Amino acid sequence: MKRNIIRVALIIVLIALGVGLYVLGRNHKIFIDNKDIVLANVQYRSENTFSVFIDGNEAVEVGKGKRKVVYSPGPWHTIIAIEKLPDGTTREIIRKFSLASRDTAIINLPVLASGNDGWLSIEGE
Amino acid sequence: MLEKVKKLIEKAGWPRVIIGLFLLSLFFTAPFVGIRVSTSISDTIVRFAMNAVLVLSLIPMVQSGCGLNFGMQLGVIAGLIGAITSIELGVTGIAGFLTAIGIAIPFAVLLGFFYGLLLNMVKGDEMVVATYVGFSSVAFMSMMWLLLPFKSPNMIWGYGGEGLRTTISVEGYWLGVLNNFLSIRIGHFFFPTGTIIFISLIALVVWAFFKTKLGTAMTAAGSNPVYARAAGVNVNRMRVLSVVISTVIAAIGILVYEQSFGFIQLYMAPLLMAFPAVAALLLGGASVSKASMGNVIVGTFLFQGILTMTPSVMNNLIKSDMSEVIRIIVSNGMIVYALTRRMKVRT
Amino acid sequence: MKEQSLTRAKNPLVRFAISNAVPILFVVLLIFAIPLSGFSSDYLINEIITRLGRNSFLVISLLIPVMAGMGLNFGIVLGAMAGQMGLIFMLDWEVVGIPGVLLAMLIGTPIAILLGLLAGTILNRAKGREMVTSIILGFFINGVYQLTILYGMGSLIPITSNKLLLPRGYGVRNALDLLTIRKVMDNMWVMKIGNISIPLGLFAIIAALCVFVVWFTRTKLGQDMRAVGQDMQVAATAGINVDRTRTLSIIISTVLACFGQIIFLQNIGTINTYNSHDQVGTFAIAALLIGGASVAKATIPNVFIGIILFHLTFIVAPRAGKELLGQAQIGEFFRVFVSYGIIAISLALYAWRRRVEKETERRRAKAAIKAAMEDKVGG
Repeated sequence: MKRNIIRVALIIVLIALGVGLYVLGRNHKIFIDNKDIVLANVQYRSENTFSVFIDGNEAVEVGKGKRKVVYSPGPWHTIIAIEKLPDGTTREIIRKFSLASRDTAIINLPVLASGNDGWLSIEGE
Repeated sequence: MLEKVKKLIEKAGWPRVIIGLFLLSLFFTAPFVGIRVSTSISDTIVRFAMNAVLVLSLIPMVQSGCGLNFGMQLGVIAGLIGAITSIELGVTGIAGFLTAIGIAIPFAVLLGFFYGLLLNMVKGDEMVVATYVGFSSVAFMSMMWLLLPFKSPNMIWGYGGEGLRTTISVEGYWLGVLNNFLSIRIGHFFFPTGTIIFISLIALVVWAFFKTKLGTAMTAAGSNPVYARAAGVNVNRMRVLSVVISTVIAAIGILVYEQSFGFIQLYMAPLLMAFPAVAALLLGGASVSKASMGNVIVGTFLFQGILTMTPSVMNNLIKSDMSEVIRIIVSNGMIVYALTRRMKVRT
Repeated sequence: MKEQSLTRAKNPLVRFAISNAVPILFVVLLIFAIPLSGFSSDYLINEIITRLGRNSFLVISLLIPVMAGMGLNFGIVLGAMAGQMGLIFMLDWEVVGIPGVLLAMLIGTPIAILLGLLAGTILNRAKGREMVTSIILGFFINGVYQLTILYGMGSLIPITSNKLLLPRGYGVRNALDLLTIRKVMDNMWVMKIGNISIPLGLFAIIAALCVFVVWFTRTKLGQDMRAVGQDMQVAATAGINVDRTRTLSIIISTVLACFGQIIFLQNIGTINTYNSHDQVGTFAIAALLIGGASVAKATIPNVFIGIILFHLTFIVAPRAGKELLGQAQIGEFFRVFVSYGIIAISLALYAWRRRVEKETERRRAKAAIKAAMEDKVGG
């Protein structure tokens, strides 16, 4: 009897481990849009190029009006967006966000740069 | 009534019954999926004729107690040497075929002799040693085919290349030399009379051999070595003799195969050739220690039947080629099944 | 007849030479072949370090069945197939990096256990013929694997990713890229010495496996396996469940092979779904034998020495063949010949020794009975 309890417990632990690995390791598609968008009756315009870092990945240049895709695994993410202003200076915004396992994220850079909410839109599968 | 059927099935053996019914079902489905039954039957017969001698070559070694000849590649190599040399000499037609056999036999005897001595040293583990000896010999000959000084332009790589080509056509030499001899063609049905006659001759010789004193001595050496030795039989000599005979028949067998198939296949092609032959023999009801002519005929027919019918019928049924996978499962499954049967204790 | 075995020679140097004949032969071969091939020592050292990392797990998985008297487990290919199926699910679920590798191992393990159980049961029914049976069983399960992968996946088994499936909707493609986990284990912790990079993380894992194997031989189960390997009759009378112990040795070997194949493939970076596992058994066994192991005895040093010698020969042969005989192809066939040949020779030597031992034992038994009877009559 004791043996069976240990076996069942072991199986439960392994399944939990499997679920944990799945959540930790699942790759997410993250779209980065540098596009005009209307959100809650506010118009945001895309004007400048952004250099974007998602987690530890390399920089992604997103030009005005463009969309790029980045892949990153795991539930917790950080985005560092560096806006290149026309006068040569830069503006940096850092945000954190989390995704459930089967989510795809769409980030809108102009909204992000404005400091308002709503820059992140999540699509579950 | 049920008891009688059950008894019959047990006598024939479950694997044979299952495969036999499977094959019958394929023949029945064939017309409904647009396959001409006459073509199917003649294809099966042609493939039977191609392979029967190779399967036949396994009998002497099984009978003498050397087990299933997983080292059949040695005989095949002798046959290949014969075929290549015959083409190099430029002999065509039936004369070319007979030249190939004539050259192959001394090589087969030589290879078989040493192979037999080796197997005598490893009594009890013949099969696993044979497997890897067979594999190594194919790899070794692959090196040789590149180096041996053959010159015939039909066989060498073009544009100043060195060494023999991987596949050499026998068209213009002895393609179909046996198949087409006295062959019968009725519409879409083709019967390779010549080959069947040839196979029957060899089968007759082997069958007759085992009825002679020497043949019975060989069988005794396999079924009960201690008793045989007491009765004055030199068990070791019988075993080597059986290996030589098996290797020679295998050499002839690959030549029969090639005249039907149309190509000589060198390099790594013979690597796995022993397995379908062994599977066919076991499918026909043989075991690791006992094999008869009936096993060869039934087994080769069933095996080649499956190989012929599965691609055509199943491909039309499920629109994809399952035949290779089915072949792997059926042939290797048969061998595993045979290896796990209880073996009677041999000292 | 000469009963004095050569391994009982008096001179320790001769004894060393005889019992390590095969590795020594290969060292001599390589002394000639390496300069002939023209490869730089940096290149060769890097290659060997990579291959040690890549293959050690697989070769180590062969050790336990040898200890249990099952001979060379040609059936590790079953574990390799289990590992590949784990990787397929991992790819379908898009789990990446180290979590992905671990998940693939987690999924492959139950499959490997089932296959190991099947193999163990079948091998127990073929006592005395374990090695041939494991070779053919490997082919058979390969057929079942292909059936599953080619027809089951996407139809009965829920695989959905278009990157994995064939255009017709079911069946897995024949080359899957593992870019998402490529070299993740190799790169875990790398140390560079000059031009040579050493994957310490991976080596740490391999070292852990070696410790596990040594620890295992000291457990009760390990000792049981040793006993069964020595003599099945004696072990049975001592109360050991011989069949169960033998099956367990195969299961452990299969699971280790599953992990080993995943490690192998993450280094290569691609799965050839239908072929990657083909030569797993042959190459691992050839490497182990070249390292000096035999059918009855295999140790951890055999594993590493064997991998180094085998893979050096593998790398060097084509170029050396080109220099020596003008065709690189000869070198390629030569290394295949070496792999098969070394297995053939080892099997033949082992079988011959076993037969000689049996006959000496029988003769001794006869002589003992004769002496006993003469005593009885005389006394």
